Amino acid sequence: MRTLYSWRTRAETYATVPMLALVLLQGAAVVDTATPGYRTAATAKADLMLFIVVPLCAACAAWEGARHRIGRIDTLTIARRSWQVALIAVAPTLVMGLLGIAAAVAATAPAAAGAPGLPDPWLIAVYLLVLAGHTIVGYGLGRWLSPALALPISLAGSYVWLAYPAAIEPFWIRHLNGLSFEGCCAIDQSPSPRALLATALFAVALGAGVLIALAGTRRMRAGGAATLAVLLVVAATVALPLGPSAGAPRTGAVRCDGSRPVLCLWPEQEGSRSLIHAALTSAYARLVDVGMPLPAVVTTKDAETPDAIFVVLAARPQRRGVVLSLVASAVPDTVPDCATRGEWPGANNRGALMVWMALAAGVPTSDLGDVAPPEFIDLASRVRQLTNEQQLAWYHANLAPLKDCSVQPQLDPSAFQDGAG
Amino acid sequence: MIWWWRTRALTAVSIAFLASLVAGMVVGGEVLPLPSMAGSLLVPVVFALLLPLVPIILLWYGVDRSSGDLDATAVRAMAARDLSVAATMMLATAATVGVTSAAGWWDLGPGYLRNLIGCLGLAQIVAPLTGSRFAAIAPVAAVIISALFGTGNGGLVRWWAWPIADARAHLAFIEALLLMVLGGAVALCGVGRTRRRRLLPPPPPREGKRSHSGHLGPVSHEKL
Repeated sequence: MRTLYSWRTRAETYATVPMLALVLLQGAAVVDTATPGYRTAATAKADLMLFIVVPLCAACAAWEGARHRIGRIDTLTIARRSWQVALIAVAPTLVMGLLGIAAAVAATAPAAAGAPGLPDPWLIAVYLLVLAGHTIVGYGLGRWLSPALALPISLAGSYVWLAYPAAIEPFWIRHLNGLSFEGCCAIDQSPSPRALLATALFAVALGAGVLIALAGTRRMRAGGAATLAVLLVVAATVALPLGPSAGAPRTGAVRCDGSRPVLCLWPEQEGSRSLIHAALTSAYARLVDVGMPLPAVVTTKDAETPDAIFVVLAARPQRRGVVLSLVASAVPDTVPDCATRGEWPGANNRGALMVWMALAAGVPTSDLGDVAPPEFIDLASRVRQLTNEQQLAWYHANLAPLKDCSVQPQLDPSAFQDGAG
Repeated sequence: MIWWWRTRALTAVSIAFLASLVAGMVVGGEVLPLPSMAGSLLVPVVFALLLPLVPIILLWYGVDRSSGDLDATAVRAMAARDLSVAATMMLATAATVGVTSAAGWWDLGPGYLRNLIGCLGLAQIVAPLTGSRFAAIAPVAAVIISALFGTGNGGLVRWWAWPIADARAHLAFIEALLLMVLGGAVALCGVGRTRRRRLLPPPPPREGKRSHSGHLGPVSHEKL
C-alpha cells in the first residue's frame, strides 16, 4: 500500500510485536483469575490488557501527530478536512490497537473454554472506543505540543489515567476510564449497562473533542472544548449512581428442570446439571430426614422469591462445592443492627451451624478440614450424635442469636441430650 | 545567560520542579495501582515515585527546543550549563529531603530523590542514542517496565526494578546513584566534545578530492 510516509518510519512497525508479546504474557498471567467457564467474565478480564495496548497506541499516535506538526500541516492548504487527515494518520495505530485487543480477548478466552456463547460484543466495543479515544488524544498532543513533550505525556498520561481512578473515591470515577470491568463478573452478573455507557461516552468525549479542535480555527477549538465538557458531564452523570463494581445482575432467564428440588441453571452450568442435581437431591433428602425445611426450587439467579433458594455455583462445580453452596445459602447470613452498636454473642454461630448442616447433608468430616476450623468440626460431629429432634432443637436454639443480640448461644450439645436441662 | 535560560524554558522547568516537589510532599503518598505480569494483582506505586518524571520531561523539552546548530556553534559551554541544571535540581532535592526527613515530615522523600537522580541519569545515558527529543521517554518506560515485570508474587520487588522499590531501599538507591554517575560521565563527554569542536579550527579540506557533502561543495547554478 502506498502511503505518504513509508512504513519503515511508522512507530507501529516496531511497536506491534512487542505489544502483542506483552499482551499474551499478561493474558497468560491473569487468565486463571477470571470466573471460569463464563465468556463474559473472560472478555471482561481482557480489560486489564488495555493497560498495555492503549498507552502504546497513544504514544504511536503522538509520534504521527508530531510528524504532521513538523511537516507544518497546519500551514498547508489541504483538500481533506482536518478530522479526515487525523483519522487517516492514526488508522494504522488503530489497526495495531485492534490487534492488541483481539490478542487480549484471545489470551483470556481459555478461562471460558467450552462455554456457550460468544465474547461480549458490548465490552469489546467499549474497549475499542477507549482505544480510539486515547489514540486521537495522543495524535492531538503530537500536533499541539513539541514531540519532546507529546510522546512522554501521551504515554504516561494514558497510563496514569487508566490506573489511578481504581484507587480513588467517589466510586463513579472508576467507571469513566474503562478499566473497571476487569473485576467483573460472577456467573450471575453481566457488565452494568450504565458503566458501559459512561465509559463509552467518556471515550467519545475525548475523541470527538480533539477531532473538532484539530480544525484549528478559534471557533472549532471552542467547539471542541465545549463538546468535550458537555460529554464529560453527561458521562459523569451516567456513572454517578454506580458503586465500586461494574457488574450488574445478569439479564436473561435460567432454565428450570427436575424435581425435588427444581433446579434452575444458567446456560454455562447446563453441562453439570446432572452432577449438581444429584448432589442436591441427596443433600435435600438427608436434610429433610433431619427435619430441615427447604424450598422446592434451587436457583442460580439471584431473585427475591420466598419459594426458591439462591445458591452461588461455578460453571462446573464439584459435588462438595454444590452442597457447601446450598448450606451457605440455607443458613441466614445476616448481621443484626444491634451488632453495630454493642456485643453480638452469636457472631460465631453461623460457622458452627453451617458445619453442622454440611455434615447433616452428607459431606464427610474429612472434606471439611480445609473450609472449617477443627473446633467447629468437632462440635458439629458431637451434635450429629444427637437424635434428629435434638439436632433440630440445637439448630433453632443457635439460629436465634444470629438475629438477636440478647439471646445467648447454646452451642454445647450436651444441653440438648435426653435428661439434660 | 538570558538567552540560554529562555531557550531552555527554565522558568517552566523551575516551576514544574517546585510543583512536583511540593506535590510529592502533599499527595506523594497517594497510591497508583499499576498492572503487573506477576498476576492480576495491581502493584501499588506511590505518586512520590512518579512525580520526578514531570520536571525531567520538561527539562528535556527545554534542551530539545534549542539543541542543534545554535548550540554547536555557541561560544558558551551549553552542555555544561544544561548539566548544571540537572545538578541543581538534584542538590536542591537532596537538601529538601535531608531537612524534611530529619524532621520526620516526608517519609517518601528518599524515594523521590532516588527516582529523580536515577531518571535524570537514565535520560542522560540514552540521550546520545535517541537524541534529546526522546531522552525523557526512557525514564517513563523504565517506570512502566519496572511495574510490569519488576514484581514477583507476594509483592516482592526484583533487584533491578529500582523505580518502584521501597522509598528507603538501599540497593535501589545505589542503582539510581550508579545511573546518575554514568549519565554524568556521558554528559561530561558531551561537554568535552563541544569544547574541542569550539576550540579547534575545522580540518582543512583535502586537495584534489571532492567533498562528499553536496552543501559544502561548489554549487552549480544549473542545478538551482
